[in-house]
Amino acid sequence: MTEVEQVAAALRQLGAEEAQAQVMAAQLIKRAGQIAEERGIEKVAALAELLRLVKAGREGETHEPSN
Amino acid sequence: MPRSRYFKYQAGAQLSVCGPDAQEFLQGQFSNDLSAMTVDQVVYGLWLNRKGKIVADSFVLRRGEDQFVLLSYFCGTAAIHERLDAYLIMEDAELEAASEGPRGISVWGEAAQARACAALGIELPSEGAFCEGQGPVVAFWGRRGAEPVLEILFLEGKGGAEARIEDVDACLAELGAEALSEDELAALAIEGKTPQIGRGFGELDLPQELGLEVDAVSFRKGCYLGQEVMARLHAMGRVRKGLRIVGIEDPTTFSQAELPVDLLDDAGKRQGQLRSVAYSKFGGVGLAVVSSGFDGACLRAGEVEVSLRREGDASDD
Repeated sequence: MTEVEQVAAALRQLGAEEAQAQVMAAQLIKRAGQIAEERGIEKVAALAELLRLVKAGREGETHEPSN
Repeated sequence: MPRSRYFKYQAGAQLSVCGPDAQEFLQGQFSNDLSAMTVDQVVYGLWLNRKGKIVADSFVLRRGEDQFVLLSYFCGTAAIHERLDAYLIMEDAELEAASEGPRGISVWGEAAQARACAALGIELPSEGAFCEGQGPVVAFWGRRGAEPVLEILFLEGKGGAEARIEDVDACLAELGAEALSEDELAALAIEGKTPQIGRGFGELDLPQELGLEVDAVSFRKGCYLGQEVMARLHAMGRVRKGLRIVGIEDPTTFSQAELPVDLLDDAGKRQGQLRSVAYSKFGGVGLAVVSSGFDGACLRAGEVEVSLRREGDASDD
């Protein structure tokens, strides 16, 4: 199972449709790469944080940065 | 006709936002409407937090189909980057912060504006648009007070930008244009009731408290961060504080570092805050955020008495 397929599966579990999940997964992985490079953290940690945000957003939680 | 004047500066922020989802991402974050923006257009607006308070301001310039640049006079690149980075989750867009704000020159007066553009080989921009020339250099209409001001900013390059600014400086000096000081710039902003976001104004404030809802907030664009608060305030019709120009006998009493200073009434009750001060041709002036319920003429800032200018008092004649 590829990285995209794994993330897409997680997104499907959150309610995304198949085609949408694939697009979202690819973009989340790309964004995780950007964050990992910017912040000097593992890509998997960045991806986990993004998925947490997606889950929180789906559940209607607000997200406010530290400022 | 406005006198020819200019001011050389280094802007606080420059960021680029690129990618197929760049416009959609920015539209979901910015207080003004970017949906109808075409290439070569510029829109001024704000980045708000969830509570509707101002995090920073920016001019958003669309340089290409998927390419935007954000510029701010006084807000730092880091503040805008942090605000956007925190909400960039799934959009296909990339943020790139410049290592330092771009060098620029503000120009007042039609003759000076035309001369500056000619010196740089660029057209004078129309309202809501920007012109770009080699360098790259961009020119657009800014917000420094009541008078139209042309902003010329060199987006990259340090030594090269400095040399070209000196060329423009020489052209303007030859025309007899006057170089403004920081204090004169602040006085223009105060007299024009144009708050300098990032310098005394911003994180404590709602756009409506600074009169920015007219130019910097769209009430029709739909969802963006802070939009719920904006919509609610718009429906209610007014906020409890507003901008007031004040007269101060000796503005050097306060340094910018000491501001804001609380403004107290005769009973010692806090009625507002003095946020910026300058010395203009009308004497010492300041811009304050004052409770809408206060109808007196004077307040105290420490030991100093400040007089509130009544709405409609002449300032430019």
